[in-house]
Amino acid sequence: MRAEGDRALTEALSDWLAPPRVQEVLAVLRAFFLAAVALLVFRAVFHFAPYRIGHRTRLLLFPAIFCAALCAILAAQTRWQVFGHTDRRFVRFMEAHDPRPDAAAKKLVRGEILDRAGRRLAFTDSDGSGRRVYPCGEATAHVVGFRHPAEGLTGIEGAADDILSGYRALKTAEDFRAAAIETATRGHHVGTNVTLCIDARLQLRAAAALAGRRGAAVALDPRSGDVLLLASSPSFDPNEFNRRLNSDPSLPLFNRALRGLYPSGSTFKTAIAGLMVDCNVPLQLDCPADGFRVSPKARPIRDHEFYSWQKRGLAWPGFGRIGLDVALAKSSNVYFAQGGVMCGTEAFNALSERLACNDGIVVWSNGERRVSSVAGTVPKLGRAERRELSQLSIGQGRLQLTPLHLALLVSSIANGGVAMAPRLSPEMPVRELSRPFSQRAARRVAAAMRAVVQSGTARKIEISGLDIGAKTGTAQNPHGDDHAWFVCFAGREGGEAQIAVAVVVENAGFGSAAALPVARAVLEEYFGAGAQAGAGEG
Amino acid sequence: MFAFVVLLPLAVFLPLHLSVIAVRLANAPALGWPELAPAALFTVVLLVVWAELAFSRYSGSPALPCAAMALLGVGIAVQYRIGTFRTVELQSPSQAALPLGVVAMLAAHLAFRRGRLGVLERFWAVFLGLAVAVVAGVIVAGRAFRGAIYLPGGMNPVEIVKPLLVLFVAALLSGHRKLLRRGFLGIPLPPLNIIVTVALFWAPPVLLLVAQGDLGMFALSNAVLLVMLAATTGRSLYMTGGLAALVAAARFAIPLTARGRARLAAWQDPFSVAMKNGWQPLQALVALYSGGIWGTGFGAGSPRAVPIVESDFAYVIIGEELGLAGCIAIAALYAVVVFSGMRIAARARNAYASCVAVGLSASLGLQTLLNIGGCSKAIPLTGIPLPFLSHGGSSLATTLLMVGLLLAVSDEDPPLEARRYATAGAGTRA
Repeated sequence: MRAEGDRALTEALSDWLAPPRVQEVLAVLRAFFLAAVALLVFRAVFHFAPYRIGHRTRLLLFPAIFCAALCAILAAQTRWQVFGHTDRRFVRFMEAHDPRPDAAAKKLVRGEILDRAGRRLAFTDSDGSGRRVYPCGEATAHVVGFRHPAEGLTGIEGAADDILSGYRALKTAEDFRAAAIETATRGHHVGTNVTLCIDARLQLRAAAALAGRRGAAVALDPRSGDVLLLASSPSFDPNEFNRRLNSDPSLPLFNRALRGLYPSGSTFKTAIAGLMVDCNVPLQLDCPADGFRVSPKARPIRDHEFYSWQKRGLAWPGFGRIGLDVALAKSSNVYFAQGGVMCGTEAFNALSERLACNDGIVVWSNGERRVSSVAGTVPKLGRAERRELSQLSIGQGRLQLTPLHLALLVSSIANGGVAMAPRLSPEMPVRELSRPFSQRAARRVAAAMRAVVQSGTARKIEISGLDIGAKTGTAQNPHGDDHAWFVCFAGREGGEAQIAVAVVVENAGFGSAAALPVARAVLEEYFGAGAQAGAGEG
Repeated sequence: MFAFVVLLPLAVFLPLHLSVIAVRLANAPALGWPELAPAALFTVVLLVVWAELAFSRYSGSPALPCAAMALLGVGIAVQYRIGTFRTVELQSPSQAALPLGVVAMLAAHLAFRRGRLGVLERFWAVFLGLAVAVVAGVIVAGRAFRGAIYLPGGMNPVEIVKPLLVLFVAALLSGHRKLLRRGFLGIPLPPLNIIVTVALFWAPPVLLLVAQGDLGMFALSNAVLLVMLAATTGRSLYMTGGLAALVAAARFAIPLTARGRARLAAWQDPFSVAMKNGWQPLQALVALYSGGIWGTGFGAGSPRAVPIVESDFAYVIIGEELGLAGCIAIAALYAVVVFSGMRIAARARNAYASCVAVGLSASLGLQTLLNIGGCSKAIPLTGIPLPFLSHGGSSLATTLLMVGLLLAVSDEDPPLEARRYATAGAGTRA
């Protein structure tokens, strides 16, 4: 009975409220509404003149003020409702946050984001919907960012919004008004493209290598500071963003490459090695089996081998007297704890400052907005904190760094002790960030890192034709299994280093097992098959 | 009368209702009978109101009930369109507000017409006591929500304080109007003891409003008091100077609280706090912009993009879907309500009734200004609901009660008197 009634009603109405004509119907109904209100007001004002005010005309002062205020409010409203497109920030807000699919501001033709070889990382769909397309999807999701009606702009999409939307090119308010009106009416105001130093091939390869694990990979060109790779895993598809990602326990939206803080483990020993050379401390040190202690009461720092032998019921004889190459190849805790303490807290503090350990590293900036890593935490040591220093020297204790910090450390070693400021865009100037090491120290450590590849813990990274120096790391962390680290630099045999890589894989155990294959994949992709290698040299 | 009170509001309401149905039909071919419930309900309301006015031989302003009913119709259409209007399943006591409000309106008219409103002058202390009791009760029984204190279930009985304060303070002002009129060169200089008397009685309810955290209501009440003062004494400096002082005091006092600072910042530069406090007002402006001059068609926009659009930002729904033109139309309806309210006050022969009418129409007018000013970023947000349009049972019922009191004042003169008055014209001026 009820269903029949529903159908009858529906049929009766759908005759003259048919879907294709709904806009016309709405326009007619609006006209009826406005006419009815107008008639009502007209009758109220003119047909009731006999209903006289009488003697208290002063009472009309309030309605007069009321009407004036209403007009003022409607004028203020017109400024937004009709001329809103003349306000640049308003247009930008609408572009980013207006969820209406056919919003005029959405029809801005936004600039593209390109990688170093001109491959498109983000572009606006040509179907007129204003939809943003990210061809590399998950692989570049964090660094490129995304544009979502409700979630706004992130990554380079957000930081370079001014350039991409084209507002930067419009100097005066007049320019802007013209462009904005053009956009609102016809939708063909064109923004500027943004080119990044990122290499899309490396991003895709690193993302594939990291797939299914939590971690990050960063690659820099040590000579120019170009950021070649900024990958974070797990990732998400920016083409189909959904809000549930916000509450995903594996934190897919979190950019581990720039924002993940990890204890750096043994990879930090490369920095201590450089410091030891610079401080002229003796490089031949005794590394006994019962470890190193800063004072008789302190708990000793021992080598990994001590514990693995102990587990098998054997007494480890110790490394004995060893030099820098062997110490780095074997990743001797005893050696670097001693070495760090010999250099002293002041030298250590100065080094951590030169390595920008306690600063965020800016990788992209246009004056107003920037993309940077979070600041690492390396405590400033007092003169007496030798025990703490011995811990920090082996990358443990209260030391936390981002993968970008480690990549910067390795690139400075590979570049003769000069850390070039990382840059995400080739338009940013090539500039020196600091000189963490002398050239002599950098060369010495680089040689020791090559020894790690030839005879130490990083033998599996060896690729014929390439000259590679590396260091593995296994960082204890209080929240779970050890984090696996791997850092390396590589160049063609006989040439200078062209790439510095840092990889971290969370809770994955030994660096040589979990993180090394990712770095190897990146190097293979970068140096590729002969002809492609030239692309890397910007 | 019939045409004016029933047909014109229906003519305002029906196009809106049919628009929503058209959009829903265009999106989904099925349509149920409940979709016609708003029209049926509104028609019944109009017929009941017309019957009551006709049988009680209402002789007052026809423009007021007509404009009020038209606004009520727009309010029902807006709530129906946004999905907060339900007639079939009763979910909360606030849904009984519409029938309750209509009954209150008609009862107030029946009880207090033909000069009987003057009786209430003697009971001013009761209204004062009730106002204090309501606000104090809410403070004691309520819980903090978004900076102010409300009762469980989202009810806000503080709304009823608006007419209570008017009924109470009108007695005080009209009783002392001769003394309050004293002054020099247009500057009011009433005797000190009168100022102290008014202030002493006025302070408890409004200070309790401050304690409750409802600063918008506090400002509204004071502004209404100033308009009433100016109207009863004829000294407009009370209103102009007082409102200026109120604005100056607000500029000084608002930055004292964290919430006030946040709201002021969201008004002055919403873009700098776009992701926090600026989000709602900015989305409101975006909705207005997407409406443009003519709007997207009622029911065809996306006003849901504005968080909780149905309460404080109901005006934005009109702005988006009926455009600037629709906003001007709605503003004109409010102007008719305020103008006819003030005409009613001017015509009233009883000083107390006149003062009450001034207070009620000033209250309706100022609420409108504060709300739509906030929606269009002309002034900071105050949290004052828009009469008739905003979602909220207590606000709607109170508004209808206020209209009922205005009808009672308007219906003061017997028809014969009214005719004599009208023909006497300017002669009665002295």
